[in-house]
Amino acid sequence: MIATKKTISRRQFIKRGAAMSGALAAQAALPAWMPRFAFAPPQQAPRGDVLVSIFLRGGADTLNVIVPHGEDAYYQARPQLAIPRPDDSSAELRVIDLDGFFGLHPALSPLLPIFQGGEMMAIHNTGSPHETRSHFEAMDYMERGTPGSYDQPDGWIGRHLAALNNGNTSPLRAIGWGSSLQQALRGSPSPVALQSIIDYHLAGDAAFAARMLESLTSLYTLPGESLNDSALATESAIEMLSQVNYQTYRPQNGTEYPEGEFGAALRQTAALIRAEVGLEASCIDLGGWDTHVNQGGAEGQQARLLTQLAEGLAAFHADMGADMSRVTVVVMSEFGRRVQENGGRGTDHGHGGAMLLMNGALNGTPVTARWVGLAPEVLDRGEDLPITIDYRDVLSEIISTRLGNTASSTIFPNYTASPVGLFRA
Amino acid sequence: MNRRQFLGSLFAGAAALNTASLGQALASAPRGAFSPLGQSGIDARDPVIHLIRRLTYGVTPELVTHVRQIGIEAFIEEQLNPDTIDDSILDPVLQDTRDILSENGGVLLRQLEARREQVAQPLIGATAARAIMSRRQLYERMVAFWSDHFSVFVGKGIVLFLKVDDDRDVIRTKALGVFREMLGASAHSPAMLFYLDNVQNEASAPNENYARELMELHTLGVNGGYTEDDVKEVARAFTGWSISGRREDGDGRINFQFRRLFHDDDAKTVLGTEIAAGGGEQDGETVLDLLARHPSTARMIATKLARRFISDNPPASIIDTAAAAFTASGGDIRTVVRVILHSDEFWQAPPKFKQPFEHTISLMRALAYRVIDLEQLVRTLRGPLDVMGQIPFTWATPDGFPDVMEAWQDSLLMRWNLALAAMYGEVAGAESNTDALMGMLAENGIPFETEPVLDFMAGYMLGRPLSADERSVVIAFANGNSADPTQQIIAGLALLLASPAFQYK
Repeated sequence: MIATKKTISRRQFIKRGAAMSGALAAQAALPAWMPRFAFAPPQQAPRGDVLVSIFLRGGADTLNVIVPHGEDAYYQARPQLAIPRPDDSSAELRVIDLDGFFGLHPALSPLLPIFQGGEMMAIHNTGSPHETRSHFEAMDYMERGTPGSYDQPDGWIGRHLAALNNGNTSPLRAIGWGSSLQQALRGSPSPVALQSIIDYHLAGDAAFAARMLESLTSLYTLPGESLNDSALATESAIEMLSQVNYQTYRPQNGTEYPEGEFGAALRQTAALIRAEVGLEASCIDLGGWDTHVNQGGAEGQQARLLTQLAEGLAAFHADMGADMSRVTVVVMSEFGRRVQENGGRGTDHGHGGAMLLMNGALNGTPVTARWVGLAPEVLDRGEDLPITIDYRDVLSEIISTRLGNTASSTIFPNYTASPVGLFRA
Repeated sequence: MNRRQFLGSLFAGAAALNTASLGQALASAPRGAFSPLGQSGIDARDPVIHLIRRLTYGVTPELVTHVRQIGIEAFIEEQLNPDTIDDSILDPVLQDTRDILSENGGVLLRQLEARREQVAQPLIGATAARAIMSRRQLYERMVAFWSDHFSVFVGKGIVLFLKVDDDRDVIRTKALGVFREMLGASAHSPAMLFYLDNVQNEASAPNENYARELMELHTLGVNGGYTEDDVKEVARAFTGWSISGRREDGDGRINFQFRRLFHDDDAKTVLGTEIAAGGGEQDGETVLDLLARHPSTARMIATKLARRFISDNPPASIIDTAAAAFTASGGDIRTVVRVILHSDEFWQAPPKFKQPFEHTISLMRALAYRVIDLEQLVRTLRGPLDVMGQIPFTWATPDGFPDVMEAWQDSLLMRWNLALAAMYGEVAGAESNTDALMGMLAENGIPFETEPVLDFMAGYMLGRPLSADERSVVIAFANGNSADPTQQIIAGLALLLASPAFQYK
């Protein structure tokens, strides 16, 4: 089972010292929090989108997220858990139709206007082709971008950034929200694991902290020290974040993000994008999707997670406003869950699932799927959703179309991606 | 608190020391039968300090003296037999946790359902206090090992309450025992049965969660030779393995209960072995027998123990040796650990990155911290442990906290801040026994001057002399801080504790 909601609230321990020196002179025309680092050298072509990669840890039951309400077999397989059809007037909460066949779980209603505006898309029958039903293997393979192989020590985003020669020297190109980096980010140039912009500094008075940091740099960069990269990334991030006055950040359009770590990570991502710190990839986790028991249907355990997801994404969309044209959000999970519900009002580990995309240049189709139905003979092992669109096809298209990286073939080695046609030509 | 006040508190009495004399403490370190071979850094390693750093939560002045007195062999045997070690030093510290930690989880649930903090507090507090102060250090390390191997997440439902029994009756009772007994105890543990949903595993509707993790994580390993069909069959074998409900036991106690009505009593085939129909509760026991004596399980446990005590990627040679010891001894954990601690691979082990909890405890031990107010200390440590991702028992997934550097190396900033906090006396709820530190310097004849003290403390904390490059950075930082030697020493020690070398053991 997987859940990352912490029951133990975080407490402040290290007293806040003075921020590092080196603040830039405020530019009168800009909000105080916006330092304007301008890491995109003006002579170069504009960088690709900022990638926000959201991972639903635990194997999300995406059949109940992007619901195939036009499929009778779905309702037969899920007598307890199915979300009522859009036209089922006996139910208060029901599927929100998208295209006459698929629809949204009702908890995703905050996302409906974005789907209707053509800035969100779901991809169904997708996932990683390796057969494992182990969370740990499936996540690892998916994030490495090499299903079935551990030959690559790094992750797909890391390889993408390492191969992208765009002149961006920012120490904040890649941020993983949490206490440690997501595997997908490994291999990035100086990735940073971050929880709180405000708390990211060395304790003590400024002069002492600066001297200590300088000495630490000397120690951590001695020859043969394998913490070298981590330490330099930490130090550069301390310096840059000290200049982002996040306390005064106000989201656009009066947006309120949901409480909790997920909302906080999205809010801080938005602030860093708008502050032009050179951010290119932000990885955010949302856990709790391993719903073997009491998954709930239109309401309940999974619905609460979906509310958090939807409110977070909707807030991020509203906050980014016009800047959404240079951001691609992708949502994925390590596998989908079994078509047939189990006896504990839950679902067991399955195979294929769905992904979500948010971007201003999508082709306008709300759901992209090579749907083959739910008959046992088409299901994987007779019981799980098969994969008809490899998740690497989706990511490859994002990388080449939106992230400005022409080397996408090296990011998924030994795999030739087929274009899905997700974006406007 | 400013730095000057701190100096007064931490190194009070420095001036009174006899600063007269004597040589390098490291030069007097005994170099016995275990003199390590190999790389130059490892060559220069003090075997006593190496052993303490690998076998315990870190050096303390008292422990270094103790091991130098009784010798390496005797210390290993002492630690392998924790019942022979007087640990009454902990009694007053754990006094306030006793009522909660000796209770049944179901009773706690009934009494404290809305006050989870009153259970989390002593559970985490006792774990931290034992790590800091217990003399049964190897035992506590093994408790942590099994807490990860049979990990349950206290954030899920009622697991927090049931973990009290699991910690006391499963993990702590069997930590140096026979693997099959530990496995059986865990399979009967209400915390595990609830956490991995086996309480929902019924003949009419099997739930595979426990069955899958039992094979993938507790025994065979993900490539240990089982199939998806085996997962389904093992799930059937464990149908009906459940817990007593609050209604059925008048006092609210929650214990293991086999629910025959929910058990699938038809025949099963697990790993090619037929389990005849009508086995009832014995089906599960048969599966546990099969798994416990499977060669993949021996390798799995051998690999994980070698990873814990030797290196992230332990050499194949020690895995073979330890797995053979596991099989030959019928899964006797004490035997396997003894083999590992006596292996060349252990004595030649490359530096291993400390997990955040280990690191935090090792900082406190190095500075001879004692617990003064456990409740306060838990409040103090929670924030940093949370930021670093390692509050005990809060790993959400059943694989337990990862035991490789890659998982933990991204929280260096908090480690640096913890070094400052420990050095500047800001660990509320605990205090540094400065007499012990000053006594150690005096015993070893170290004059209270910046360079000798920092050289000695580096050897004490790292088990090796500083390299010329490290030394010049540390001394320059210390000297640049103030003209006062006490201030120089404090700053230099803070930097040493934050340095890359101290992040490893």
